[in-house]
Amino acid sequence: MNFAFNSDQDLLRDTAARLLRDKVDLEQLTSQGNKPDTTYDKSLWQAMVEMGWPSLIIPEAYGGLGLSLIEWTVLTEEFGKTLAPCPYLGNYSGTLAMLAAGTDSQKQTLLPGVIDGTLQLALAWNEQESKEDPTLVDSSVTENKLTGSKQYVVDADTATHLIVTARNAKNEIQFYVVATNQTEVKIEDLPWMDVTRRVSRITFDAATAEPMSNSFANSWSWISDRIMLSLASESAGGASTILEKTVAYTKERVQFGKTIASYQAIKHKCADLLTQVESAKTLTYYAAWALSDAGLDSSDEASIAAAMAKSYTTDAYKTCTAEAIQTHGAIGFTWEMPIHLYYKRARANAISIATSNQLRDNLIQKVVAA
Amino acid sequence: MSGDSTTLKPLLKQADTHMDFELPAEGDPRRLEVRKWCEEHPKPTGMELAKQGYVVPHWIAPWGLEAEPELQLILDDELDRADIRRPNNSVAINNCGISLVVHGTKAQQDRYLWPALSGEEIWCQLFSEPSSGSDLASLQTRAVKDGDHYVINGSKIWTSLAHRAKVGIMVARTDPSAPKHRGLSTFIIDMDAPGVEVKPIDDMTGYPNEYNQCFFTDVRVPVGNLLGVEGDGWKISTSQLQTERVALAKPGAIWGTGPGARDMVRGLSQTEAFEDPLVRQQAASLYIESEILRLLKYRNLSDRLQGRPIGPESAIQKVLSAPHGQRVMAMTLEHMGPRGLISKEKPFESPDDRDEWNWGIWFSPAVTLGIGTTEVMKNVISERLLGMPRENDPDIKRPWKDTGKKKEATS
Repeated sequence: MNFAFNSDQDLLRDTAARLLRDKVDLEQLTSQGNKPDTTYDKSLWQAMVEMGWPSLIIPEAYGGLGLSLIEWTVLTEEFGKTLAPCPYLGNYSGTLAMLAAGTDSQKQTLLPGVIDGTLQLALAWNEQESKEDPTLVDSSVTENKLTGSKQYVVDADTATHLIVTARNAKNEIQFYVVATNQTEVKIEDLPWMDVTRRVSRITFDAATAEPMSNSFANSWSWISDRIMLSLASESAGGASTILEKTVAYTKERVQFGKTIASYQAIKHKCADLLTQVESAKTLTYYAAWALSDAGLDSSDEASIAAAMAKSYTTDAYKTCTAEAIQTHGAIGFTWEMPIHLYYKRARANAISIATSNQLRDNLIQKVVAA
Repeated sequence: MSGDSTTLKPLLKQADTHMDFELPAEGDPRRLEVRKWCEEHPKPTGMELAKQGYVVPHWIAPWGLEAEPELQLILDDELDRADIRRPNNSVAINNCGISLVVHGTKAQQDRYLWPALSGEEIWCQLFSEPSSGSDLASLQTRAVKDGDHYVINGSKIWTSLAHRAKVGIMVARTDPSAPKHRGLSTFIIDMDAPGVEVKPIDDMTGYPNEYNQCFFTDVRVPVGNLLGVEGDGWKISTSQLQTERVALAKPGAIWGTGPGARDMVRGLSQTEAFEDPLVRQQAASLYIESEILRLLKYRNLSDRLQGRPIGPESAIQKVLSAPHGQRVMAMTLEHMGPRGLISKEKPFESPDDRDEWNWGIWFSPAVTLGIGTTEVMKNVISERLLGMPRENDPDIKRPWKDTGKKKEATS
């Protein structure tokens, strides 16, 4: 029995932490006023491609590193600690959809490009303004031409190919591969408050679309559980970093003749936050194990693990970032301090894929049915 | 979103089996050996279990087997399977007995350990006092040397099992001129000795008493019953507050015992309660908390099994579990509506629960007090895990006799 990481996983974590420390510069987003250029720094992504990270979970048969979701979780926890502004999440989501639903020929064609960095994927599934329901799909494909629109697509603007849900001739939801270099695909950047991540609205006007093989109904929960795992692990990482920064600040800030770290109101709050951070990590590691093949046999159990991790971890991230601002005092509310970047990422992660309320409602029904 | 996603599993690489949650396998030779003994001894006496080393397998011989953590888990598992229970003598087995192994004389070990491990002599832990709860080291019970005896005067409170105990492990003050932590010593007390009086404390549950107050008036304890040396009392006592045994987490809401969040969810699912979306939210949150507690225990076990230093999860587990238990009990009580205020009513139609639910509901205010209050534990977490400044204790370096406690004791 073992809940600990092995030495290769520890090494991966160290390598990631070192590379991100060198490459990520959040000051670029905080030092030049509150209208920063949010275009991703290409050198970070290029360095990640060279490390093989975008293809970490792609099976060796397609040329990827073929590692498990546990390694992915180690890596994305480190991404979350620095916010790592780069298109990893969109590309990962698209890659999962390709693995789950693509034909072998689509995989053979596209995955080598993802691995060497010449191609980049994104996943477009949401059509609603104010809620997330992957089954509410009006976009449709007739004779390989896709018409419709998608909301809140992560990392679409740098993607070469989109994996898009749309209704087929039988009115079923199906996945399609759509190249972004067509004039029939319009990608419009949204003024997204989380400036560490790029999010777009897309319209398709009879764009060429190539159907994928596995049905949406068969593959969505497999895909979305694994996206939620990534959101959970980056949230756990972000929450732990923001707590560290906050505790460090309380040991420096002096009021009424002593550091604010010596006040019990602050100490107890930080103890509560550490409790949440450690709980978040624990649920995330468990979900990584449960979703990986060596884990649980029942996919319902694995889905429960993913839902627990995503809901609890993003809630904890929201709490930690709100308390970070409160504990820093008014300086924490400025654009110049990077806390708001984490605060906004926490809120974006919390509403991605599904809200915590939705996930808790689903999981309790699964628990009861089990 | 249902659908057969199991067919998708082979898409990704199997995780390294390094991170797994399985207990040692069915065919494990250590397991087979234990199982064989259980089959040959279907109804062992406490002494048979103790002599076999199965009561405290993690201790050294002759009492234990120096069992590594995995073997301890195997033993728990196999004894459970054979429906064999260890003697019910938790203070000796989980807390204080090991102090005799570490600090005791051969005479003390020979006299006390076997009757303790076999359950023939029940032990109690004489720690808290009416004026010394969280600040245990300020305690006032005095042990004064008089020839070949110590004479003990004072009072101990919140002592579980004292009304049934033959042996008490007491921390008392031997040197009032030393600072409070340094003037303490540990004694093995005969609870039947003249001058020992045990009074039950009626608590708010209305059930038979769990705790007692003990009074000691000129109780004469032979010097041979001093454990370790004078002044070792604080060191010995703090080590006794933590069990060293490796075990799986118990899911019960009251310090791991009795029904827990899963039982509550099961109970509620058989009523109309889950038609209310707010009830589903609340139940799901408690279910997740109970999973966190289970998994934190696994993390702790992993560290122990690997011989790694224990991480933050142990303290986190403690500070989280007590309020969680209270929330489970509060939600169950609320579910019962006015019926919940009827003495000994059961919340759910389940033959197994008996009145553990009802006792737990009214006992639950105590779980954030016993074994360290939540407030003290949050101090510990912020100071030891986050490196924040320690609470100021004006008494910490002064001789105990010059502190407020001494004035209180003599007034």
